[in-house]
This record gives sequence, C-alpha cells and structure tokens, in this order.
Amino acid sequence: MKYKDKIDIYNDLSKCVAKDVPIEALSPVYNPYMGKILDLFKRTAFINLPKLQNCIKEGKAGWETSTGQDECKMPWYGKDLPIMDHAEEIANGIRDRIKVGGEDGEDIVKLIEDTIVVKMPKKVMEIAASRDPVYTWVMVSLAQTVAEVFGIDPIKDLNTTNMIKAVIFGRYPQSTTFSPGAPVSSFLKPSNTIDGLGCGYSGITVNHIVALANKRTMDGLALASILEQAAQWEMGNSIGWYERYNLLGYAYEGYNANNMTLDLVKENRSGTVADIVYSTIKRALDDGVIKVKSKAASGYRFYATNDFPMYNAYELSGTTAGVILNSGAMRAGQAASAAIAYTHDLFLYETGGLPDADTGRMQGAGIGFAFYTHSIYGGAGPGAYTFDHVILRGSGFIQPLIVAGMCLDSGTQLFSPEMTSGAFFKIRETFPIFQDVLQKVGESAEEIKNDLKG
Amino acid sequence: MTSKEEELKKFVEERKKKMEEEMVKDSTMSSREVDYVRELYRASQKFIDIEKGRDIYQTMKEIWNAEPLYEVDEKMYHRGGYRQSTRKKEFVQAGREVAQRRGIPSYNRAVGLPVGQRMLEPMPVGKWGIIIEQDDSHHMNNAAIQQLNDDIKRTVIMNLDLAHRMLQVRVGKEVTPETLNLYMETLQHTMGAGAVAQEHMNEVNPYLVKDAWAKIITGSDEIMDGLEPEFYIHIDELFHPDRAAALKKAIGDSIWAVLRVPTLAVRMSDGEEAGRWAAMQNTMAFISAYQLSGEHVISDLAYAFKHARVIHMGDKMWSSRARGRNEIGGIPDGFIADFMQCERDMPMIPYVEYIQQEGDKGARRMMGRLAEGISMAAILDNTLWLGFYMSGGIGFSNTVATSALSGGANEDVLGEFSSLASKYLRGKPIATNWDILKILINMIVTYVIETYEKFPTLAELHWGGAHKTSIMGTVASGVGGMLTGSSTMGLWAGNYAIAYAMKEGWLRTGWAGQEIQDHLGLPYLCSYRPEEGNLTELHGLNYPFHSYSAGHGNQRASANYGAMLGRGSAWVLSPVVKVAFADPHLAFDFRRPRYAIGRAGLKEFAPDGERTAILPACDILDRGILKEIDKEFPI
Amino acid sequence: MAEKSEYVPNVYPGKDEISERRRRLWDKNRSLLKYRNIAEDDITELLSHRSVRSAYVSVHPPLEEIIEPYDPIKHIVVPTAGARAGDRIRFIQFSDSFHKPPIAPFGRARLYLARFRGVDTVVYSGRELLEMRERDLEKATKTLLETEIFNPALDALKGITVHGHSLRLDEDGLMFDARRRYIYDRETGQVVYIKDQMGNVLDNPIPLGPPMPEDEVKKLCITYSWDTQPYKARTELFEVMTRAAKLRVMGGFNPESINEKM
Repeated sequence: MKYKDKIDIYNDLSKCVAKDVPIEALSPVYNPYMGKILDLFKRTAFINLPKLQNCIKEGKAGWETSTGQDECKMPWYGKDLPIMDHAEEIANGIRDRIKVGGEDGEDIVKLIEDTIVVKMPKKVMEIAASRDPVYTWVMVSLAQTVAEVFGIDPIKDLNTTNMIKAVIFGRYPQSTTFSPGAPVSSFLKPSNTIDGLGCGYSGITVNHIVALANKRTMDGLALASILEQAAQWEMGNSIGWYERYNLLGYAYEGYNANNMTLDLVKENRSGTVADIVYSTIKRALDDGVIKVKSKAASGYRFYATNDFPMYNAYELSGTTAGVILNSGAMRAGQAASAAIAYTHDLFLYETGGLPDADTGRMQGAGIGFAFYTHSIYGGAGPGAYTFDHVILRGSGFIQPLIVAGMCLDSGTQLFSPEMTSGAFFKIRETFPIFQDVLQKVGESAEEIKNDLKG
Repeated sequence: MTSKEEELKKFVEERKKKMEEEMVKDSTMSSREVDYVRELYRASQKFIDIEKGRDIYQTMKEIWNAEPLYEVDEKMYHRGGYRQSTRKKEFVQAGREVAQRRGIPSYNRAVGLPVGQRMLEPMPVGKWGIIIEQDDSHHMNNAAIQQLNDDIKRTVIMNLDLAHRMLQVRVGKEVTPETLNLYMETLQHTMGAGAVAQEHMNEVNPYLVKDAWAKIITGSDEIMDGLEPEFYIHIDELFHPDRAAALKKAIGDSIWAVLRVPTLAVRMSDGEEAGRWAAMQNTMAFISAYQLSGEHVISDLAYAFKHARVIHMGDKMWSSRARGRNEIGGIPDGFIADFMQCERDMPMIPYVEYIQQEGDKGARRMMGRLAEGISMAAILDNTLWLGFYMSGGIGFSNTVATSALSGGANEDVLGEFSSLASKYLRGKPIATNWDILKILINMIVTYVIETYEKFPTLAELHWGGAHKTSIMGTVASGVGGMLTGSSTMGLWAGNYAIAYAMKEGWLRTGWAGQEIQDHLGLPYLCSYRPEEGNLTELHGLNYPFHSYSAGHGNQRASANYGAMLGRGSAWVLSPVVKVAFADPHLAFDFRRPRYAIGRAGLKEFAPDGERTAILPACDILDRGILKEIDKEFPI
Repeated sequence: MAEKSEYVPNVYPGKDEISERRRRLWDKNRSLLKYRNIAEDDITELLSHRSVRSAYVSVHPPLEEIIEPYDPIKHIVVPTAGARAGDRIRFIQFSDSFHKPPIAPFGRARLYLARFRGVDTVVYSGRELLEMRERDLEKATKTLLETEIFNPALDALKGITVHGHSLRLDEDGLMFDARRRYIYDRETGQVVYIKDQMGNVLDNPIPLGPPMPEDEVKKLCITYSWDTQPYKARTELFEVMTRAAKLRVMGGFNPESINEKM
C-alpha cells in the first residue's frame, strides 16, 4: 500500500468491526460499500405519484416556494387523471422506455407504495458525460407514459398534454432548474445548478442525510462522510499531498477510527467541549503524534509534530466529539455551530500554534456557519443547508458534523428532518443499504483489506 | 471501576494538582518583568505629547469637538436625538410629506430604536477638507458611488487588430489613419445608438447618452500621432513618464478601443448589457466606416468583438449568486487595483527606494495614494457588493466602507509607519519571507491597535469591529505588499493581522467573526486545490469564500495595489485596463475617489445617465451636461 | 502502549497578568470570583422570556416521554436539565465595552465552551449571543452576572440594539446603550436596570451593583492595552500566533510538509 497507516473501525456500540485495515480501504475508490452508496445516489430517481396526480388535477405547476407551493395556480388546465390507479402500468411504461439490452439483473424500476423508484441503467450512465439522465430520461419517459396510459395527445386534449409536461418539468428551461419538491426527484441536484467543479455529491441537504440515517448519529456522520469524501475526491482535493490527510481525516471524523471519537465522548460525557480538546491533545501526546518542542518562560509548552495529517485527524475526531457532546447535551442541532466554530482556538492556543483542524478551514467555515445560522443575512437552520452551500464549502470536514448535530436534535427545529425530508425516512426503509452505515463501511473495509495492493 | 475510568480520574486529579502548582508559580511576575511592563507604560506616558502631534489627533478633534484622548463623552444622551443631524431632520420632514402625499406611512423616527442618543458626528472625507454626514455616504444618497459602479459596469474594451487583419486579408481594404479616424467618429455616433446602416431605426436623444463614447488605447506613438486627439487616451500626458513608457511598451502596437456604454443603459439593465451594446454599436461603426455589407466576413467581425478579443470588466458569476458579466461581483481584484489611478503622477520606483530618496514626506505621499485608492475598493466591497447586492441594501456595511473614507486612520498609521521605514529600511527591499516580515507586521498591527486604544474617539468613529477589522486588514496588507512587492505576502499579512493579532489582543474581530476570510485565507494562500489559492490579483468577490463576508475587498486591494507600489510597476494585472480608467472624460474620479464621493455628499457631483432630457420641465443646460474636464488634478 | 505523558493543559501562553487571567477564566477547574448576588426572579425578569415563576414553556415533551429512533449515542451524552425537560431554547446577549472590559466576545466563547454544557453561541465584535435550554440559561446567567466577568458599567445585557461597545463612556462611566436599559443611580452608587434585555420597561428596577472601581477595572481587564499590559510586549503569544500563521499556510499548501522543526 501507498501508506503504512492502519486503523480499526468501531461501530456506535464501540465494537470493533474492522481490524488493522489500511486507510486506503476507506477510500471511495476502493471501499465497495461506499461505491454502492455513491452509485445509488447517482443513479436513483423517485417519482411521487400522488403529487403528480394532485398537481395535474389542480393545474398546479411552476412553483418557486419550497414549502406551501401555492403561488402558481391554473385550475382551468387541471385534469383529474387517476394516476394512482394506474401506478403499475406507469412503472412498466417507464421500464420499457429506459431499459437497455443486457441489463445486469437489477430491477431498474420498482413501485414501492405510491412511489416509483427508478435506478438508471448503468450503460446509460456510462455513456453520459454527466449524471443528468437520472432526471432527463426519467422525466421524459414519465411524461410519455402518462400521456400514453391516459390516451392524451394534442388533438384529443391539448391543454392536458402540456399540463403533464408542466407538472413534471416545472418552469424548466425558462428556469435553469426544477421546482423544489417536484414530482420527480433524485438524491443529488441537477448538475447545471452545481457551483464549482466536482461538487455533485456535495449537493445534498443535511436533513436528507439525517433522515436516511434515521437520526442515528454515527451513521449520519458516516453517510455524510461518504458523500462529502466522494466530492472531495472528485474535486481533486484529495490528490497526492492531500490524500493521506483526507483518508485519515475522514477515518477519524466519519468512521470512528480506533473508537477515538466515542472514547472522547465517553470520557467527557458529563463534561464540556474544552475538556474534550484537552483529552484529545493528551491522547495525541500519549500516542506520540505530537511532542513538546520547547518550553517558554511562563512554562507554556510549544508542541510540534512530524505527522500533521495524523494530528489533524485527531483534531477532527476531537471536534466531532465536541459537537456530539454539545449538541447531545443540549439535544439541539443548533449547538453544532458553536462547537464547530470556536473549538479550534482552544486547539491552537493549547499547542503553541499547531494548525487547528483542516489547517484553519474548519474554523473559518465554522464561524461563517455560526453567523449565518443566527442571522438575517441568509442561511437557515442547520438542517436546511446543503453540503455545497457557499458558507460550508470552505472545508470538506464540516458537513458531517452538522449532520451529527441534527441527528441529536430532539425536535427543536422548525425545518426538522421530519418536515423537510419525510420521504427520506421512507427511502431508508426501502433501501437496506442505508441501515448501519458505519458498520457496513467497516465490514467492507475488512473484506478488502488483504486485496489492496499499492 | 474500569482501568480507563481510573486512568481518567487520576488524570483529572493530577491536572488539578499541576494547575494549582502552576498557578502559584505564575501568579507572581518576576521583578524583571514587572519592571519591563512599568517601563513600557512610563515610556508610553511620555509620548502623550507626541500623540497630540499626530494627524489623527487633529482630525478627531475636528470631528468630535472634544479631547480625542479622553474616553468619556459627557454629552452623551443629551444631544437632542436625531435632531442633532440636519440630514435626519430633512429625512423626517421628507418622510412626513411622502406619507401624506401617498397615503402610506414612510420614513418614521418613531419606530425602531431612538436614533441620536450618541453624537451623530460629521464625517470629513479623506484629506479633501469636505465634511459630510454619514447618511450622505449611503450609496442611494451618493451619486458618485453610483457613478463609480456605473463607470465600471459600462466599460468594455475591444481589440481591433483581428478586425483590421480581417479587413486587409479577406476584404482587401487598407486601414489608414484616415479610416481609423472615420471609424472613431462613426463610433461616437453609434455608441449613442445613432443609426448608420438603415432608415427607420429608432434613435436616442443625444442628451441621454452624452456619456457614451469610445477611445483608442495603444502603445504606439505612430498610431496616436495619426489619430485626432479626442479619439485616444493620452498616456504620456496622464502618467509619469516612466509609467507611461512601461505601459506603452506593454501594450505595444496593438490597438484597443475602450467603449463607454451609456450609464442609463446599464442602469436600466445590468452590466451584461454593456458587452452587448458595445459589440453591436462597435460592429455597426465598423461596417459603416469600412463599407461592409451583410456579408459572411462580418460574422467573424462580430465574433471577434463579442467573444475572441473583448475584455469585460467582470466575469459571469456562479449560479447561486448569478449575474451577468460586468457586475462588480465578477471583477478580478487585480482589475479593481488597476481602476485606481492615484499613483499616476508618482515615479515608478519601488516603495522602499522611493522613501529612501524622498524621505519622510515622500513616504507619506505614497502611503496617501494607497489610502486614497483602496477607499474605492472598500466602497465596492462593503457598500455595493455586500451591503447592496448580497444583503439587499442595509446601512451597516456602508458605514464599514466609510471607515476607509473618513477619519484618516489609514493615512495616519501608514504615514507613521512610513516615517519609521524611511529612517530604518535604508532603501533595502524586504525579502518575501514571513519569518522576516512578521516582525514589521507585528509592529504596525500593534501600532494600529494602540491607536484605537489611545484614541477612544477613533474607536467611536469606527464603531464596529468590522470597521476596525477593515482598517487592520488594509494596513497590514498594504504594508506587506509595499515592503515586498508581493500581493501574496500582503494578503498573508492581512490575514494574520485579523485572524490572530487583532483577535487575541482584543478578543474580538468584526461582525460575527469577521475573521472568516482570514482563517480560510491562510490555508488557502498557496493551496493548489481548485477552489483555493491563486494570486490575489485573480481573486474577487465571486471567489466563493470572499463572496459572503464584509471588510476584505479593501484588504485584497491593498495587497494588490500596495504590491504594485512596492515593486514599482505601472499596473497590477492589465496595462490596458489601467489606461482605460485614466480617461479624463469619466464622471467618477478614479484618481481621487474620496474627493468625488465627498463632493457628491455635498450634492456637488454631476453624474451621468440622468433622464432630464425626457422628463417634464427639462432643464438640460443647468444639469452639468457639458462637464468641465479637469486635466490637472491636484492630489 | 506508549509511555504516558505528563500532560497539563497550557490553556494560554504568556506570563503577564492578562494572560494569567485568560487562563483562569478559561479553565473550569479554577473558580470565578463572586462579586454580587442576584435573585433568580430578577434574572427571569431581565431575560424577559417568561413571567416570573411561571412554568417553563416546552418545545417538545420531556426526553423520557419521546420515542426516538434507536441511537446509542443519545444514551452516552448526558443531556442538560433543560434538554431533559424539553425547554425552549432562549438567549441572553451581552455587550462588552471596548474600554477595559472584564471579558470580551471571544473570551466569552472560550469561557462558555469550558464551563457550560449544551451551549449555542455566536461571537460578534461588540456582543455575544448565548442560547441554551431555558432553565440552563437562567442558571448560566447567574454565573455570568454575579461573578468577576460582569462589570455593571462595562458589560450589559442587550437583547436588541446592541450598538455601542466601542463608543466613549457616558458621564457616569457607563457603556453606551441607545435604549438606556440601565442607568447609574447616583444615590445608591449602583447600576440599575430599568428595562429588560429587550428594552421593555421593568415594573421594578433591578440594581446590579456598583461599577467596579478603576483599579479593579484594570486588574480584571481581559484585553491587553497600551496602558495596562502592552500587547506588543507579549512575546510568547506573538510567537504562537506568527507560528500558527506560517504552519497554516504550509499545511494548506501541503499538509505533509509540516515537520517538528517548524
């Protein structure tokens, strides 16, 4: 292997699920479970049939508001199509349209209760330059199928013909994107709305991940880490000099490497965030990651390190534990920002200036996050942020911590996971892959650890 | 108990014990240290008289009409509320009239907080002897700030070389001084939407577009000699000879046309309009002057003017804050520093050499130019971008920008530093190395910090942390840039000054931790990741982490502009852009931004883009249509 | 396992009085000096979130009564009393003067994170917001108002209209407040709150003690200042800061490039 570092992965019951795995086993490039999650995120679309039916019935399309969605109304174009009664037929129609010969045995279209779940064929995605077929193919095939099932065409029913298109596509292409909460959705934003190269996996809302993890903190952390890590890889932020730094960082922050995060939480379960900082530094010192460099006149000790990526991983673990402790004690997602933003000064002035987590990026982005989650200048409650929000994109390590904070929220937020992301709780039940994420990352790493070659 | 818990308990106990021991050790300072501190204090006290000799002392005295070093304001709460301000009284009166006429309430001082419990101090602008009120510097009240935005947005620069080649090679026509003059004459007509090719085209009242024109920029004396004097920018007259020579050499024989789209056009639409207007009118002028038809070659011409050889002042922005080109968010920082014209008459030698030659006075002169220039960046960043485009027009960030306009803190502190530098640097450049520079940066930053501490009146004038942060970043970046000639070093110094020095000294920075950009700025400084790093000249407000917090555009401008003065070069990023903004016909004064803004505060600034010509009771000639062009600016 | 280190937290560099004071405030094992007593009801009044002695308003049922999805972490971290009861999250906001304050915004953040549990705080230049579950907040407020970090003249409760930290002081030496929530009572020598933190007039004025005398102010000042502990003489702190800046730049460029000699 390229790197000598090996770690153990512990689940949220502090049980070791992977022993001595090389850190590369936690790379999205190698870890098969991560690969499956990313594939699912990229290829899956959802069709909300009741919404489709209601909107066509009421003549409702092209809204801009994310809740309420009541500002645009054209009842005169409404048509009561019994879409729900023909759900199976519509699913079959979509399947016929998007299937590609020689499928790999996957059922690409499933009707699950009132939702059609489409997984775009791999071949289609392979020949696409982007991941947009997850929208374009599904939307076009849905429109065609509905028209066909109900025998609608421009001669027989001119207005309904276009109402179907309007409900599915919203204002697109007058708008660059679709209406929020449109009947067809996917995990990730359409690629043309992404700001910046390689941020596709980062275009997801915090609350969606919280719901997919069913508010299980360490699973939320792990799932968020898989996605943000993948984005960091895609952005080129993890190449060469930054690779080990990122591998170690996510291992300790997202996957509970060596049970460090949970040890820190347990040691300080009735303590404060500052206690966690000191415990973290003590552990770094005990493990030989940092050492005393010199002593100043006041007795103040300057620390030094020969392995900053590892020390950074320790700091990330400490910050994660700090967020868990702070949000856990308050049982509120809003407390995450304080721990994210203001813990790093403690690390910095404790060590004599060793860089704080993510060499200061976390502090910078964290302070912005604290401000914008408490001000009139934009932002929202933490759950409504997307990972790639301009405030958060300063650091690739901040997003999982916000998810952790929101997992620990006991119902204090207006924009709660239940309100913004109800469908994702259901999706979790539909896709067992989202259950026990941390455990599965570890098991997957364990599986491949002997196959990895440098 | 498990061994882990025992271990933990032991650790806590040991820690407590150690801390107690340390406490006893630490609680008494060594006699040497006590002496040292006492000595410093004594020394400081001795210098009170020197403080009184500082420019800032006089400025504060004028503003507050009180002892600047005294930290109590005895008249606080006793000044009659908003009535102490002429402007506020006018607003109340106007609000009342508006409410009565329209039947909907308007401006009303009875709602919200009681304004004027403190002193609503007058605001002297720069060193121009102009005193305005704070409200006069709000961008909605200040026509010069609006014109600053407009003059940038309405500028597009197009290169003619490709078009000329097309003429010669594909059409077989010659380009001569006569044809070029004809083209320029036609262009002045088409820039104001005058028709040249067809009957029945709607045309525009020339009074409305009196600010639409075009000029040639070239480095070739021969070409300039062949042009009518009103058709080109006179580099030799506008710049110090050394600067002119450098700019002309860099531009070479290329011929550029800088086109000024009417202010009214960009105000009605947006900056993106400028490129379209300029390309269309330029192409029309070209077709007319060279007698081209709707033939195939003119599509190449259109492509050259619209895409291949055009310089917009700003790029398109990311979709989450999408705007077209030529809006301020898309301007690279290097261009912003090139818009500034304050150094034009200064010799083109590095700062440290200049102060060696010119001594204290010269040192202060150059620093004055830096302070004058970056005030424009402060307005662009705080007032217009963050306060207006991003935040929807709040008054707060306006006041942050005005910290660069008023009070003279930048000049004072930078001037003091320059005096020291002229004594001690002896004309030697400073290596671009943090370990060396940090000593000087600490010196200047603590000087700024102490200035605020010694002058409670200055602290009151720059009443928010964001104001002080803004000054701190400007001063440190400027000094870093000027000493080393490196914008990156300048930015490093600015980031350090805020994220560490200011923060730890006072345990506060600015508006909700204004150090966001400074914490991110340090790891980003030399990073090769896609969204991080890069030369400061190529940053800007669309660079994601610069887009959403205030008080740092001036920091980067100071690093860029300071570095230019530091290395003794004639431009920052583009020699063409530098020359384009030397154009004396521009309404905004890019050489004396604070002067223009101050005059607008006095309602003495005549902006472009007014609609008087098409409004009832038009009184055109009284509205400054024929603006006097002031070639010899005092500065 | 590697040999155990004898780790004692540094907390903060510097040997001067201000550095020492910072160390003390930010170390929860060292107590804060108590200066005054403030009745719990007065605190409730000043905060103005609920009526005195009224029941706490809940944002959700008590934790024991909520059925939450399975998560072992929720059983590890001990929730605060307010969280357990399901209290609303409410706030207190302090403004600290620029002129020799006993505490300043980042000082508060570090103190809050060291001494309180379950805190949400945002640091501004003149003010600092602290949000907690309501009963936890009231408890914390007691510490914040009764101890050495509150000088009634230079620190103030300002729920809204926070402006004024950097202004000169008024004729009585009090920090500016556009809403005049507090006044100096010349007869009793106390700073008296006549309005709550939101600027609503109180039925009964609440005295919060006299302004601290000047020598005390200097002794308790948390910021370095030219006439107390000159900042420029703080060599240890400057060493930490300049090193930190350099290491951040190096770490941002190439995290592997940092070595123990730096």
